[in-house]
Amino acid sequence: MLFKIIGAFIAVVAFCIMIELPKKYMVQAGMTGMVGWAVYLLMDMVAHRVEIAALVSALCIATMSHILARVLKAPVSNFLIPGILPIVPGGSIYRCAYAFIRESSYLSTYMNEALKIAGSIALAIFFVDSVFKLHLPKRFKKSKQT
Amino acid sequence: MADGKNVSKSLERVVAETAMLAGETMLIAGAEISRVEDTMNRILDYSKCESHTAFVLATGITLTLDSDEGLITMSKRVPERTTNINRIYLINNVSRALSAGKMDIYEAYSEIKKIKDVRQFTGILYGLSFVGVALFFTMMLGGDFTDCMVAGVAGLAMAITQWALVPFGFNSFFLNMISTLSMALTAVGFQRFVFANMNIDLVIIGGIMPIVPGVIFTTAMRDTLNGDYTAGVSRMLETGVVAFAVAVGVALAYVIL
Repeated sequence: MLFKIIGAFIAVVAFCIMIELPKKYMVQAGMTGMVGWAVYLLMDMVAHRVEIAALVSALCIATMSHILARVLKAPVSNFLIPGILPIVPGGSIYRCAYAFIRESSYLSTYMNEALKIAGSIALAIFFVDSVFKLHLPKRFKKSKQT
Repeated sequence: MADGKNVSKSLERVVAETAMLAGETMLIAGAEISRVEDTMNRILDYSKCESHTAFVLATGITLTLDSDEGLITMSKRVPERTTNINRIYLINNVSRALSAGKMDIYEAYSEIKKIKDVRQFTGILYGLSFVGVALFFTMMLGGDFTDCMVAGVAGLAMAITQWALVPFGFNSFFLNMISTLSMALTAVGFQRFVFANMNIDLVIIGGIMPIVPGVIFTTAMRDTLNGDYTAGVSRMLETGVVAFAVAVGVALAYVIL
């Protein structure tokens, strides 16, 4: 378990080199990915459903990236893109291709899984992005001033 | 094109060219559409003209600036796309310095021109990042020592294939497919001939991670949410095309071996 989480940190940092993340944000991005993966593993053990695990961990990652972006004054995508990477359904895509070649009846299962995980991630990003865009309606601001 | 010292061009013209250059660089680097438009508008504000518009699609840019000497309109097709977050970050900083008055437009233009080709990591380190991603993703998914080492070698095969093929100008679909193929061939070859009981699934999942379109997917989602539906749809399509290339590459390796 510990090895898996450490692996996630180094994997995300290595991926940051590939996408040319500014050097000073690499550790924070790696932390985002690591926390997201830890939450994913935990939720997978508790709930036994990949889509719920992906949803909860993507929510954590997105919230964390928005907070980091505001604290460090950097674009949100600096942390969101590397952070989301561990939970992207690469495995399901591979298993789809494998099942397709073997003419296995699991093809639709894996395709379903990939779409569910992708949908969960999308939903989480949608949700957190819109929460952080909220602001007080104008009438409240005015009443404060007067 | 304007260079910094050319004073014969009007200010508006230089502003428009700077905004276009900034937008093009950001779009190639894979920024969200709303961020590109926001940055371009911030640069166009510098001209103090009454109205200006930057209209950005996933594959091209149009800008209009209503200046005193008439309308300036420019459009540019942007067929290239990569991921380079550093450039997005730097241009964002330049545009903020420009609107805060810490920089004039000629400085900004030459600065952006420099950023257009900036690379933080080149050569060996870039190649090693493929190895690192493959190796540690396998570790992350729970592979043992043998799996991780084989994944590292497979990642190296992918890096070498990319290094060898990019100068020929292969299009991205074939590049992705062939580098996945060489990666998967290495992994399957190791399983057939060396380590019969290694976990081939984890090795291949780790190995395809450098190419799996996680970055484009995230950007597509954020574009869609911001109301840039054309960019969202075209990036989702790009995700599908890349995923298909990966699937074909892996499948071919199983067919061959």
